[in-house]
Amino acid sequence: MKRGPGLKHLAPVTSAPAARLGMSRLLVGGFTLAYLGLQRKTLRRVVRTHTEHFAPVGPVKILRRPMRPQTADALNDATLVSAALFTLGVGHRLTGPLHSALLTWTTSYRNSWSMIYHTDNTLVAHTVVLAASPAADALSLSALRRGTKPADHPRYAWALQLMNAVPAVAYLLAGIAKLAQPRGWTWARGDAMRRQVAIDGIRKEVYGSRVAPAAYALYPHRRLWTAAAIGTLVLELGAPVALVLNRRLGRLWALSMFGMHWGVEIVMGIHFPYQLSGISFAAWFDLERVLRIVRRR
Amino acid sequence: MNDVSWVPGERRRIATLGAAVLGAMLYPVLQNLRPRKEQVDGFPLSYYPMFRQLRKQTVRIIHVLGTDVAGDRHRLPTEILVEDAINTTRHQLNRAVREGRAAEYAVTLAKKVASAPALGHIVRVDIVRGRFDLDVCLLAGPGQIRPTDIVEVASAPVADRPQPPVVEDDDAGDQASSDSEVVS
Repeated sequence: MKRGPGLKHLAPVTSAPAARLGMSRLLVGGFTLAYLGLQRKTLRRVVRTHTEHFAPVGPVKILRRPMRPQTADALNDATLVSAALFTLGVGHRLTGPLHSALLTWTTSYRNSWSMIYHTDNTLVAHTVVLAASPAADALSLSALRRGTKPADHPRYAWALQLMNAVPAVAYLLAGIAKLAQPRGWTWARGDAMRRQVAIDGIRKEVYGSRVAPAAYALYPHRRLWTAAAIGTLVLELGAPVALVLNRRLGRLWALSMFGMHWGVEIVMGIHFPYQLSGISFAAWFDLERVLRIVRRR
Repeated sequence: MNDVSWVPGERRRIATLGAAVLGAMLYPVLQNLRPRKEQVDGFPLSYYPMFRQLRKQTVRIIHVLGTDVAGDRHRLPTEILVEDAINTTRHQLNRAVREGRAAEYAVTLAKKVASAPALGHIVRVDIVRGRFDLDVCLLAGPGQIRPTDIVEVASAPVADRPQPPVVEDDDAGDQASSDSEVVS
């Protein structure tokens, strides 16, 4: 296995096929297209609510007041178009950064009208990485036109490794936040998690929705919550270890986090579309194998 | 390893990108060191403050109820309350109460109730602050989520509908704490 010269002390980065990074681009871009496409009507509605609700976050802080709704709609539609070009890999050096900037703006603008949703953070960061990397060297219209097949290279592996690092850092920060709460390490007892699930369920109920049946079923079992809390802290605080030790451990970590998000979905009904789709963790895996299977058939 | 060739400056570009992305993502962790009132969350960079909050056995939740002509209170359907998502509405309502705009918010909802045929029995919209005991709500099983006490924050009549009889404040307080306060 070849290592990236001068960088091998940082992480087990080996050469990777361009198709693996290309598959990541296809998955992330395709997800964005579907995700924003499905949210289009909601976004149009949100930017037309009371201007008093507007509290800019991230890059949107450059605005003192909301944009005209028509401008917000146009930028949202432009993001959809850029997502399509990004997915197809057309003019990636231009469309990649453009899409990255538009997606960051659109998701930030949407979050400026509500509480801050943390469901899209990883999607945005992954897009930034893909946009700045040679993610369209394979499996793109541009690559098809060139007709060449690039050799495996560490430059593809580094982008994938950075994509793996993005959720690892996010979970690490979530783990640190849990320990930074006033009762510190007692978070591991599970009471805070159990209460958080209960509070979330009650809020849903009084706003016309329903507590997830699993929340009622699990709430009385304190030991289960302790086990879940310890497991969560191990996974979140251990994320950087999984990242740097070896790829097999990393994949196990990725599968565990994927399972954790499905657990959150079932118990709390909190939907993390990007994580639940598995695409958030896809860069850990040999995605190009899918192509080989498809070609064989 | 020797057969790996790099474009000049490529490795530096990769290292810069990696440092910039990871550095930017890690930067919000510093919020944990600031005094609680000065901590600010952001997007797409966050320190995930929802995990920092101390969760107690009881919780106060600001929410909306509809009152019928007999004075009984009912939960309003999600379609009336929620424009986008439950958490968005909850955040907007909390902010409206915090900024002294609760009455205005209630008037907006009352107009929506007036135009909803299924809510013809609702004559007033109340924004309330309810206290909920987690064990009481969750251990009793589905359908038992009721506040242990409730305080009215703001209200608005639904136009052209008869209003429930006015009661003295003390009576209203007693009624508020009864189990029949919230009818699902």
